[in-house]
Amino acid sequence: MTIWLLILIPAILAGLSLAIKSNVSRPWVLVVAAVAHSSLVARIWFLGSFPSSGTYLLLDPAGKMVLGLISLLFLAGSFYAVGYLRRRVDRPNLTFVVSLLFFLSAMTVVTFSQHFGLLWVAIEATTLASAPLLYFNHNQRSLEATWKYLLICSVGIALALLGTFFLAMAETFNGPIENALLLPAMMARAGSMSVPWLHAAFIFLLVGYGTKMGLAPLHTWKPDAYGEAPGVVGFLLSGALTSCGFLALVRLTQVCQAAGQMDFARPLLILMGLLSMGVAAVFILGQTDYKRMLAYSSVEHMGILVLGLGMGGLATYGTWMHLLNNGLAKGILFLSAGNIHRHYKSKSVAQVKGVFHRLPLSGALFMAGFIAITGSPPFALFMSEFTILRGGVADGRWGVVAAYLGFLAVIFIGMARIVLSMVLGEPPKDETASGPKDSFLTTLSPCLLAAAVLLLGLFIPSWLNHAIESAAALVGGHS
Amino acid sequence: MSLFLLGLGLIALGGILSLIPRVPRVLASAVCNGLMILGCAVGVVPAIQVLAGGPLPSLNMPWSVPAGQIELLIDPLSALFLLLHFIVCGSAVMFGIPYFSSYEKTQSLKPVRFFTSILIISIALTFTAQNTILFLGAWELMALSTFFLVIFEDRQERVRKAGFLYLIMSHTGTLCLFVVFLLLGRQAGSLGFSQMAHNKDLLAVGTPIFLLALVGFGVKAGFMPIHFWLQEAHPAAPTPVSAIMSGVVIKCGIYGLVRVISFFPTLPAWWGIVLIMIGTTSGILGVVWALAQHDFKRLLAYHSIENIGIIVLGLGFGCLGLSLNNPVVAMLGLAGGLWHTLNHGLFKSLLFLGAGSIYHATGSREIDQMGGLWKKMPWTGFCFLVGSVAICGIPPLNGFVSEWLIYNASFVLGIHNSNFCFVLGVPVLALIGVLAAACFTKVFGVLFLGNARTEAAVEAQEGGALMLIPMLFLASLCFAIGLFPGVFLPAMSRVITVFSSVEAGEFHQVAMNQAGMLAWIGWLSVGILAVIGVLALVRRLFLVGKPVSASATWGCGYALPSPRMQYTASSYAQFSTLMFRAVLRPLVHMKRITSLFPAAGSFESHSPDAVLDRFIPRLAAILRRVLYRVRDFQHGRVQFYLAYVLLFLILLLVWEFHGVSLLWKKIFLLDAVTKVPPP
Amino acid sequence: MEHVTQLLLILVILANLFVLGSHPLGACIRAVALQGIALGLLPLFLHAEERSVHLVFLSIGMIGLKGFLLPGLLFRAIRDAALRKEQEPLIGFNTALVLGAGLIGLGFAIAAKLPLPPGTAASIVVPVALATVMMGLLVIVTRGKILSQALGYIMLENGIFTFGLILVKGLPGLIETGVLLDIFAGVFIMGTVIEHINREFGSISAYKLSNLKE
Repeated sequence: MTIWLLILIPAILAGLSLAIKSNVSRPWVLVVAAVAHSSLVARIWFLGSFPSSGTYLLLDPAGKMVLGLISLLFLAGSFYAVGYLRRRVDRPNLTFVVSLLFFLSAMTVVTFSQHFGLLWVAIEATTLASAPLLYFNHNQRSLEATWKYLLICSVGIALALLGTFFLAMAETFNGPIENALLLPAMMARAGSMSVPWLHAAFIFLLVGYGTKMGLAPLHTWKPDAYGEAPGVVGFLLSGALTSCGFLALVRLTQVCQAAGQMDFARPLLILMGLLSMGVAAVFILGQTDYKRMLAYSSVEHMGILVLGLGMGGLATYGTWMHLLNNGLAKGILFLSAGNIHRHYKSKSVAQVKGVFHRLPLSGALFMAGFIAITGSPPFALFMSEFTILRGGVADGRWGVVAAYLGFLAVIFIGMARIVLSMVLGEPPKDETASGPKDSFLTTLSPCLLAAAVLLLGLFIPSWLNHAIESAAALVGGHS
Repeated sequence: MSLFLLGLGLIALGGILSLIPRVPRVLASAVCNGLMILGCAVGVVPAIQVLAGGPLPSLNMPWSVPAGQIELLIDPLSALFLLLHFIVCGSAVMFGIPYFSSYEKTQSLKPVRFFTSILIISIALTFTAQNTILFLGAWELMALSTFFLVIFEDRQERVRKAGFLYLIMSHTGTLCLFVVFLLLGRQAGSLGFSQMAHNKDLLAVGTPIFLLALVGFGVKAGFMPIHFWLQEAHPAAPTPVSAIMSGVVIKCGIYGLVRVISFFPTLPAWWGIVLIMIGTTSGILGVVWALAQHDFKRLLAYHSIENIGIIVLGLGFGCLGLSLNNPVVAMLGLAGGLWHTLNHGLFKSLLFLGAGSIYHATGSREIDQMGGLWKKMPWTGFCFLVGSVAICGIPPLNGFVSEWLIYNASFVLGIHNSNFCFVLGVPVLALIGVLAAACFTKVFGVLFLGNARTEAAVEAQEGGALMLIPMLFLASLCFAIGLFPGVFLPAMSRVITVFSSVEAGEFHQVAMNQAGMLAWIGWLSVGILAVIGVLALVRRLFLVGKPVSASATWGCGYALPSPRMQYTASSYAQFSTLMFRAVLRPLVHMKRITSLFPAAGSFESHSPDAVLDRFIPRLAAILRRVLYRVRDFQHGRVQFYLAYVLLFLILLLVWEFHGVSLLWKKIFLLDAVTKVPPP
Repeated sequence: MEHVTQLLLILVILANLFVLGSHPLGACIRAVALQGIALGLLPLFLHAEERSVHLVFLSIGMIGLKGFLLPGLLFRAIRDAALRKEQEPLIGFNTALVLGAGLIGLGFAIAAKLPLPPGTAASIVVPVALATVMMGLLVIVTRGKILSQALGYIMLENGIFTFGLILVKGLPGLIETGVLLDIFAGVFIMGTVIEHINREFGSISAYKLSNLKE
C-alpha cells in the first residue's frame, strides 16, 4: 500500500496541477507532493520496515537508502523550486511542474523495483520525464542540451536493454525458468548462470546505466545538460537521478557477486571510476563556466562511487556514505550556483566576482559547498572519501590509491581556482543592472542541506549507520 | 584535562558569540576577544603543568564516525607546542583588538573573530589529538580557518592569489598525510596514535611514510622548495594572523613530523641526513631571499623559512644521533630543534606584531618608506630590537640558546664519529646567523633610524596599550629564556622522552650534563646585559653637564640633505644580494644617469621567488598546452560523443572476450593483498 | 522454417547496409520500415513450434509500431522540414559501407565467444543483433541530419529486438508492453524535440547543434 501511495501521489498531484491556472500558485503542488512523499518515506525509515507489493516491487536496504535520499532531495528542491519559479512567473511552468512530479514517481519506482525489466522501464521513464525539465528555458542552448541528453541517454538506455536481454539469456541458458530477471530469484540461482552471457550483460549494462549515471567516457551529455538546466533541475539530476543509475549498477553487482564473478566485474568498475575521475580532473582544470564545472564534479563523484563499489569491503561501505553525502552537497552547490546565475546573469567565471560581498549567503553557501564537495573536514564528504581511501589502502591497491589521490588533488586545484575567483574580489559596480538578490525560499534549502552535510561530518547517528551498513552488506561492503 | 577543555570552551564561546547580529561594536569586541584571551590563559596552565613534570591529562570518548575516537592526550611534546600556541594566540588576539578596529568601518569583523576562534581550537586539537581522524580533521580545519583569515582583504588581487596558493598547497599536503596515517594505521592495526607508538611493524613501510610525511608536513612548515605559499600568504594576511601563522601554524608541520618520527622504535640513518640537507637548504636560501626583500612582512616570512631550516637541522642531528645510538647528539639535536621551535614562535610573532604596529601607524609595508620611527614609536622599536637580536641568535636572547644546542650537536657528532662532514653544520649555522644579522641591521636601521622618508612615517605614533602589552609580554619571555635557559632544560628533556627510541634514564643524565653549560650561557647573557648597562651609565656620567646637540643622522656634510639620500633597504643589502645573485637572480630596472644635465634616474630591483615565479609558470604553460589538446574531445558534436560510446563498448567487448583484461589485472590487482581491516 | 528465419535475418542486415550506403532519406526510412516488418514476422518463425496468441499479438504490435507508425512519423517530419537527402555525412557512403562490413565481422567475432543454449534455432541471431546495434550506432555517429540520427536509433532498437526475440518466451508480457511503450514515447519525444529544433534553428542539421562545448 505504502509503495503504491509513494508512486501514485506524485502522479495524481501532477494531474491536479493541470487544473491550477496560476503560474504563481502551481509550484506549491511540488511542496505538497514532496511533503507527502517524504513523510511516507520517513515513516518507512522510522518503523524500520521494508514494504513490498507483489514480487516486483519490494524495498531492500539498498533501495531504502536511495529512496530516502531521493525523497529528501526532492523535498529540498521543491521549496527552492517555488522560490525559483516565483522569479520566473513570466514563463509557463505547467510542463515543468508536471514533469518534475512524474520524474519523482519514476525514480520511486526505480528504488522499489526488484526486476531488471521493470528497473529498465523505470529508468527510461526518468529520462523521458526529465527531458522537458532541461528545456525549461526554451532557448537554442537549452534545446541543444536537451537533444544531446535525450539522444545519448536513449542510446545508453537502449544498450542497457540489450544488456538486460543478455542477462535473461544468461539466466535461461539451461532451459526455461520461472521468474526470469527477478533479482532475488536470480541471486538464488546465480551459480548456474552462463558466465559468458553474464559478462556480456555486465558490459552492456555498465555502459548503458553508466551513461545514465554519467561515467566517463559516456558523460558527454552532462556538462551541457547541467549547464543549461535551471539550478534545481541540475541538483535533482546530479543528486537523485544519478543515484538511480547507481542503484542499477548495485543490482548488477549483486548478481555478479552471487555468481562469483566479482573478479571480472571489479576491474571494469575500477577502470570506469578512475577514468571518470581523471576526465573530470582534466576538464575542471581549465573550466570557464561554473555550472559546467559542477557537471564535471558530478562526473568525478560518480567515478568515486563506482570505484568504491568496485573495490568492495570497507570502500563499499564508504561508497554508500558517499552516495548520501554527495547528493546533499550537490544541493548546496547547484542551488547556490542557481542564485548566483540569476543575479549575475552569466555562467562565465570571468563575469562573476565578489559574490561574498554581493550575495553574502549564496556566496558563503557556494564556498561551503566547494569545501564540502572536495572532501575537506568538517563536512561529511571527508568521512566518506577517507573511508573509501582507507578501503583502498587496507586492500593494498596502491595504484588505485595513488590515482585517486592524484585526481582529487587536481580537482581541488581546479575547483578552488574557479570558486575563489567567483566568491572573492570586487563585485561589479552596476548593482541595479543585476538580477534578484537572495530570498528566503531560495536560500532555505541550501542552508539546511549545508547543515545536514556538516552534521553528518561530525556525527553519524546509529540508525543511519545501520542503514548504510546493511545497504553495503548487499554488495560485499562492511565497516 | 578539564582546564584545557574549559579553555577551548571559552574560546569557542567567544567565536560563537561573535556571530550574534546587531551587538554594539565595542561590546562585541570586548566580549569575544576577552573570552578568547581568557581561554588562552586558561589553556596555558595544563601545558605548563605537564612540562613541569605533572601527570599527563587525557580524554577518551567514543565518536560516532567511521574509525573515529575522541582521544586527546597532553604529553610533553603536545604541551610544548600548546604552550607556544596559547601564548602566541592570546597575544595576537589582544593585539588584534586595536589593529582590526580600523577596518570596522568598511567591513564586518564577525568572520575574523569566528575563524580566529576556530583556528585556535583546531590547532589545540591538532596538538593533542591521538586519533587519525580527529587529527586530520583538526589539521584541515586549521588550514581552512587560516585561509579564511588570510583572505580578509579579499578585494586585493594579491590577497586572493595568496589565499588560493595557500589553500591548494595545504590541501595537497593533507592528501599526502592521508596516506601517511593510513599506512601507519595499516601496519599498527589501528588508527589510534597509542597503538602506533613503539610499533616495530612500522619500519616495514618506513620509507614511504617518511617521504610522504616530509612532503605533507613540509608544505605546512615551509621546507624549500615547497615553501612557496608562505612568502605570499604571510604578508597578505592581517598582521595578527600572520603572527599566528608564522608563530604556530607552520609549527604544526614540525609537530606532525616530530610526532610521526617519534612513533618509530628505530630510525634509519638516512632520515637524519635528509633532514639535515633540507634544513641546510631552507636555512640558507630562506635568509638569502629575505635579504633581498623590501616588504617587511614578506621579509619576515622568508625568515620563517630560514628558521624552519634551523629547526629541521636540529631535528636532523637529533635523529641521526638516535639512529647512531649517540644520546648526547640526540639530546642536543632534538632539544635544540624543538626549543628553537618555541623560541622562533615567540620572537617571530613578536616581530610580526611589531611590523603590524608599524603598518597600523603608517599604512605601508615598504621598508623604504619608513625611517626615524625610533623617535615616534620607542616601545615598538624596543620590542622590534629584542626580536631582531633574538632571531639573529645573539645572546642574551632566546634565539642563541637553542642555536647553541644545535651547534653543539653538530660539533659533538663530528668529533665522536670523526666525520668531518657533520661539523659542517657549524659553519652553516654561522652563515645563517651572519646573514640574518645583516638582514636585521638593514631592517632595523632603515625602519627606525635615520629620518622619516614619507609623510606617513613622520606622523606615526604608538598604537596604544593593547598593542604594546602583548609585544612587551613576548619580549619579556624572550629575555626570560635567554637569561635563564637552565630552568627550561628539564622541560625540554621531558619533551624528548616522547620519542619511541629514546631511553628516558640515559637522556636525563645527558640533560644534567648540559645544564651546567647552559648555566654558563645564562651568566654570559647577564654579563652582556651588565656590560651594556655599565656602558650606558658611563656615557651618561660623561655627558653630565655638557651640551648635547642634535643633528641629522647620516647628514654626512651635505648642504641640503634629504631623507631620500639615506641608505635604502636595497642599497644596504646590495653587497649581499650581489654575492648571491647566481641563486637570487634579481630583476633590476634601472634608468641610468647619462648626460651632463641628467634627466630623472631610477633604480628598482626585486628578487622573484625561484619556485613560485620561475618554475611554476613554466609548468603551468606546459600543462595548459596539453589541456587544450584534451579539451578538444568535448567539442560540442553529439555524434562524436556517441562515437565514444560505441568505441568504448567495442573496447570493453574486445577486452573481455579477447584477453586484454589480463593486462589491467596486472597493473592494478596483482598486489591486492586482502588484509583484515582494523575494527 | 529455419530457412525463413535465416532469410529474414539476412534481410535485416541488408536493410542496415542499405541505410549505410544510400542518401535519399525516404528510401532509408522505407528500408527501416521493411526491417521492422521483417522483425515483426521473425517471432512467428523463430518459435514456430509454439505459436501462441501472445506471439501473434507481439508480432502485430511490432509490425504496426516499427513498420508503419514510426516510419510514418519520420515521413511527416521530413515533409515538414522539406528534406529529401542526407547531404552532409561525416564520412562517405563507401567508407560507411566498409565500416559496416567490419562491424558485421566484429559481431560474428564476439558472438562466437558467446555459447548458444542447446536447442536454439538460427545461430546467426546473435551476430545479426550485435551487428545491427553497432551499425545503428554507426548511422547515428556518421550522419549529419538529426532525422537520420533518429533513424539510426530505430535501427539500434531493432537490433536489440532481434536478440530479444530469442527470449520472448521467458519474458513476461508486462515488461514487453512497457518496453514497446517506452520506445514509442522515446521516439515521440524525440520527434517533438526535432520539431522544436527545426523551428528554433531553421534546420535540422546536427552541425548547428554544437554551441555547447569546452
